[in-house]
Amino acid sequence: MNIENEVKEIFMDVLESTDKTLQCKLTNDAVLLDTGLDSLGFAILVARLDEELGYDPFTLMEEAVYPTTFEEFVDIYKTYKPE
Amino acid sequence: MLFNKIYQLPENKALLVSEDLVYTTKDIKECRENNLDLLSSLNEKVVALQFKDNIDLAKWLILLDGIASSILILPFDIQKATLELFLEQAQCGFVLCESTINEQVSKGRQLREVKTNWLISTSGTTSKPKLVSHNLMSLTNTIKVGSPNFVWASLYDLNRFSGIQVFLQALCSGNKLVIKNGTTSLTQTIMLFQREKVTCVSGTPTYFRKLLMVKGFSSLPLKSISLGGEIAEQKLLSSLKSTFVGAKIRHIYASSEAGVGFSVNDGLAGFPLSYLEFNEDLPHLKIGPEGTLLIKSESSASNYVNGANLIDENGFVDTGDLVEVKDGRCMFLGRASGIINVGGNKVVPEIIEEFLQSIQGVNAAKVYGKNNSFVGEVVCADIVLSTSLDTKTIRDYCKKGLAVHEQPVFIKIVDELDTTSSGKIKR
Repeated sequence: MNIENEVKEIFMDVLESTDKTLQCKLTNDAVLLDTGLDSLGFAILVARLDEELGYDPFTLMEEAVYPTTFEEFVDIYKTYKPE
Repeated sequence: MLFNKIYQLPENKALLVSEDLVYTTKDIKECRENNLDLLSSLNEKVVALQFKDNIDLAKWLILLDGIASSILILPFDIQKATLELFLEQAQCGFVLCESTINEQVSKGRQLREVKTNWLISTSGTTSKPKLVSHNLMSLTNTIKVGSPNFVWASLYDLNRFSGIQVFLQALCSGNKLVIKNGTTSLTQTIMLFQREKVTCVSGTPTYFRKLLMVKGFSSLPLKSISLGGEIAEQKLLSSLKSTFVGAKIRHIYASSEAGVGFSVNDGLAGFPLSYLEFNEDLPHLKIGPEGTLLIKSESSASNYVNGANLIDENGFVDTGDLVEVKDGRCMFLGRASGIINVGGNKVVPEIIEEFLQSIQGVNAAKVYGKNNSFVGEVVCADIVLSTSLDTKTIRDYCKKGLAVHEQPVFIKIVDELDTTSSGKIKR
């Protein structure tokens, strides 16, 4: 599975586990804060992705980058994917 | 002195039994006679004891109480730095172990009886291990002498406070104590207990959860079961009660710092609110401003050996254990120092563990925090199953019964939980 699909799958899973529903379509330009996932949800998403993919890009960053859209979020995972 | 407590017992009474060794009253007396020179050279000195086999440690505790000025009881696998620190704190220059038994021998000195300090290391599960000073009086003042036919078994290592409690309970009642070695497997332990017809077992809840999964445990003729060292939750208490019909089941609250605490015998988790009122049979208890249990006890270790003060201006020791009054009972929540902080929400691991263990098919759970770049920490759980169950089902239970920040983000199914040498979950 490519990173984008993996993120999508876990994203939906976390949304469900935190009793939230998707507020907009999960397209590339979807604004993360409008998706329905709250801050704890993001923490869980990042933690779950860490387990699935084996890395947490947000701890690997030297300077903090905060993604706004779903595409930016996925790009961060692509950029920091270990060789 | 401890030796006097066994002196009157029948010569052929088996006192200490392990897989391959038996010490009767006569054996202990002979051992004392054979080692008079060694005892004489250790008289009124600080002696550290470090033995691989619990039964050897037990023998030397009997022989050295009343002889050494202090006995420093060392875990066999102690780290070198901790060992050096303890030896320095106790001002101890001699470690008695397998290889040094033949050293330090001087002849012809009359033995002088002294009041021996027992220096016991705290388990250090939540902080650095410390030495706490006790004596035979403080360690035995709450012991009730039981039936002479009881056979005791301890699941604790003898170098720990709880292990010493069981050892003294058996010895002071003139009962046989079955001692397992540190390396004994669970199945071997059960076989040893069956061979010796053990009637009283003492151990941590974590250990009992494991035993309940071992074939043969439920057929032991148990009359008394004591749980201590960790929170005994209702599911485990009920399960032991239905497995050993008629057995007396109690959970003991004690910490090395507070000396002997108190026991709860009504088969229910937590303790009755009446314990918080003054009662001369109990240590004085109260709930502190931070929600932790404070305890004032006759037997409180007077202080840490390194001088740190344990007692507040009113004579109370802060146990560091969080409690909560719920439905007319005072319930233990967990260690104040173990709290997981999820984005400012505090999660007590033991509460989540109890919830997970209440799920049908979950035998044991360990809950801990994992660093998280967004919210500081998230909750993780390692789970031992007793029947087949998938993580999805466990997650569904969590969703129904726990707040979002309390739900384990990671659930790992494991074969067993790591435990410390004192039988508690390793944290």
